[in-house]
Amino acid sequence: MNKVFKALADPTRRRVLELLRDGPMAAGELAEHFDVSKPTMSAHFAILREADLIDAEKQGRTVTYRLKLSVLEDALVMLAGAVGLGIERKGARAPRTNRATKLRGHA
Amino acid sequence: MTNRLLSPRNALLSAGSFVALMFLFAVAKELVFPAAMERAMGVLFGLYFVIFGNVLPKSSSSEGLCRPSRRQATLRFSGWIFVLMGLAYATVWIVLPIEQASRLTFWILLPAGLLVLGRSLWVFTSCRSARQDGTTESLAAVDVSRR
Repeated sequence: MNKVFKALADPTRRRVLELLRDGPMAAGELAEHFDVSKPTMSAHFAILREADLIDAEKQGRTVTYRLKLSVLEDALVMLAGAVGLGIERKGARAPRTNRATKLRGHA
Repeated sequence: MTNRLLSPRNALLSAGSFVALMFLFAVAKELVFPAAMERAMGVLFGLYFVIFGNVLPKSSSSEGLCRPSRRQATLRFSGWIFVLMGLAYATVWIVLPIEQASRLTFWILLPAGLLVLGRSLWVFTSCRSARQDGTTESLAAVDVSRR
């Protein structure tokens, strides 16, 4: 249970779980929703997998993640969202910034 | 941990121990404390539904013929219904007098059973008709376009 609480403590990981509620998604597709590097995203996925909250399936070069929440864990995620512990509203998305736009901004 | 819980061997073991426990309660009910044992059996039955419903969504896998997202949604829905029904069932047997509890039991089980059955049948028929219309690729395309 400790691993579950650790996994749910981070808003990015909770947002991943929110996104996976709609159905299984590819790792790249999930990463598009966040403004973090791929290794950071992989670390988040690893923590969620370790807590047994998501399941990964490799098809060729694509890794597809699917939700693996029990009802209790589902309720915990919803509770964290209800009390506003850093989960963004559905549909809301942090603007992505990449190196090119950053450079353009400085020019 | 849940994977281990859901293995066929452990599922058989837990079902067997549940039946054995119910049998012991039934025997104890005939011998001593009939009212308390009947109440305990009701609570135990409710808790069994709670535990079963809690782990049900974890059993989802992408194998099978239906769309994974729809399967996942159905298992989540069924899990929540079983947990809520189990909690209501156990509460009724703890709080209410035995006569009222046994009457109310049916009205807790019936809507929950119908909801789960209805949802499962809807998914089954929609998946079957989609399979008849096209291939699994078209199912996946529909699944992606839904997002």
